[in-house]
Amino acid sequence: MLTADRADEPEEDIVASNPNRSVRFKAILSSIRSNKGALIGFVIVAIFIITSIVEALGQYFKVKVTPYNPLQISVGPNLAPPSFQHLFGTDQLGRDVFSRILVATPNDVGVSLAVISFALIVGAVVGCYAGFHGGLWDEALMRITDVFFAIPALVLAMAIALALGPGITNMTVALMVIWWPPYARLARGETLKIAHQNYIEAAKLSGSGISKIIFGHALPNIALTLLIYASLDVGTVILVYAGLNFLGLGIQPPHPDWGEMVSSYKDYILTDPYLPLFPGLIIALGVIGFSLLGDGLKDTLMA
Amino acid sequence: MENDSTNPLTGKNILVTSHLKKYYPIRRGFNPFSRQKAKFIHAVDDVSITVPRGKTLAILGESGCGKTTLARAITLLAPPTSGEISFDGKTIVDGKKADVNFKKLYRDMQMVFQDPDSSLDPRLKVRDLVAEPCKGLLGVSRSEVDAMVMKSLKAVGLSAEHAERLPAQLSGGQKQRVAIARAVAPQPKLVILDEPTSALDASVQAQILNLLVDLQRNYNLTYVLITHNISVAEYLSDLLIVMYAGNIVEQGPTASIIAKPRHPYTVTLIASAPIPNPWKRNLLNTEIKGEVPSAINPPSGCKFNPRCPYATGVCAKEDPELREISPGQFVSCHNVEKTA
Repeated sequence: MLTADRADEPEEDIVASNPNRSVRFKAILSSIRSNKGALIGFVIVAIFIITSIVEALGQYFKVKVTPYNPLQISVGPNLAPPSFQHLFGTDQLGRDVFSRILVATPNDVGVSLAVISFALIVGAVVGCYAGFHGGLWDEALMRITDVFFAIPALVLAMAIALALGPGITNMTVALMVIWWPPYARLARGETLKIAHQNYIEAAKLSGSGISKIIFGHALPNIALTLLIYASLDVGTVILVYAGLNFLGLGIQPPHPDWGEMVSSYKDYILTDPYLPLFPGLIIALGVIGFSLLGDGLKDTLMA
Repeated sequence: MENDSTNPLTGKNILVTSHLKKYYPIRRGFNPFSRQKAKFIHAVDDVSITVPRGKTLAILGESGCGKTTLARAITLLAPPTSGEISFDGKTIVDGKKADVNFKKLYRDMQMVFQDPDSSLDPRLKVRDLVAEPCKGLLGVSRSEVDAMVMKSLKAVGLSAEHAERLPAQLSGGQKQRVAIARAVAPQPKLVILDEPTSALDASVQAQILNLLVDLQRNYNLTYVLITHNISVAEYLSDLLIVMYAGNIVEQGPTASIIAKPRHPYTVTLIASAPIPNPWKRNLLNTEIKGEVPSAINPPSGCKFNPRCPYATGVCAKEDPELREISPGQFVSCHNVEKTA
């Protein structure tokens, strides 16, 4: 019935479109350049990250990288409007608002990235394990994440931060604790999608155990989705972090933070509206920048 | 491989399964207090097969008849519910308990999956894909692994240049060649081929079939071929097993079954295969009425009886045993005389 004559003509070769990583990276860069939103996001994020690195190095080596000492009072007149001497004006104690905003940058960006990294790693491992193991482990791990979903994240973070006491480290811990469950859920869903792919079975036939399969096959294949979700999520952490600082649960005065500044300047909103405006604008800019970049990455990588 | 070709046969049969069953429970979430009676899908129901060394056994059947489940049970990817499996002279599953060194087992038993798009990790290069079983199973040095990878790529007709590519940069036939290279790289004794050509274009199918024939000769392999394609089974196999709804309905030498099928199901199955020559086409209406029975509540007696044109009263009551009706050819039918 089957006429299988020895047809040994070569099959057509599919020409390699992106042969290596550096070319792929260049392709991502060029597609970000062609996407206006992503480009704006990229520039904003780059400015934020460079500023925070410079500020962090300045604080570490005790080099002055702000126009004025952010903690010193009466560097100018009290409640001065924005001018070339004081770009964002001065506050009720005569401190330079621009310097205060600059010096708070490494905390905001650093905490956000730390929280996202922690959530990403813990969520990915928990979700992957639950997805692969199935059965009772899956149920137990997912019901634990459901507990976190049942309580509003901000309320839970406030409770944890209050219990641990105020301070930047404790607040970072509080944010980490509330931030991983959505990642675990996403990772589990993505894992279930690939768990019954034949390459997982083929890996079992190659003598790979569950940890080798998770780290060698599952995580690399679900990483893209998780990374895109994370890049969209950085802005949200900045917002929640600022919110907790606004409520006085984070950095304590006189040390500045964007949320704390909005909080302590809010009483002047009728007489000197620029005072709470600038820290608020910076928070908004950070959130918008990371969201635009994440959105652009999604369009580029998911296409 | 150099040892295998001269290896004195320790036994005539490399793989024997007896009364193999694989039932899947139907789960409705986790509820330890549920009083509902457990239901099962009877995917493979009491299957005994014997695979002689160096031969090819084809398992033929339509979608959902349990052929792939049987392959997964044999490879212990889905350990059987009950029954016995002996492989290469050793019992690997006895009853429910599988007490086996998986690395040792998979060194000698490998599998080629149906769809190379899903059986190759899209993020690994061909080199790493083929190296994975060598590294995981054999415990040999890096340079030896490299040599084995190159050797098995060459054996399936790929070059060193393909080794640096990702699966997405290969054609369908090349991908299946990589999947085959992966399976033969650790130099197994038995390779289970799960629909090795059904995801491929017709022109590439022939190349892959010829490649499988060459590899069997050069590596002294035994094949278990899972297929729904009678032509593929006829071309590759020495022995044939026809499955229906989790049971074996007919088994024997491929040539004699194709020439003279005896089970009513096999008769219609073979008559329904397309024949290239229009003058030899079977113009009789051989369509089977009805649907494949539910695997959850299979019909009593012979599972084919609701659709069988020859069914009599006994068919709904008693499950027929496999009976030898001509040398080597076994049929499980109460009314086998009617198809003579």
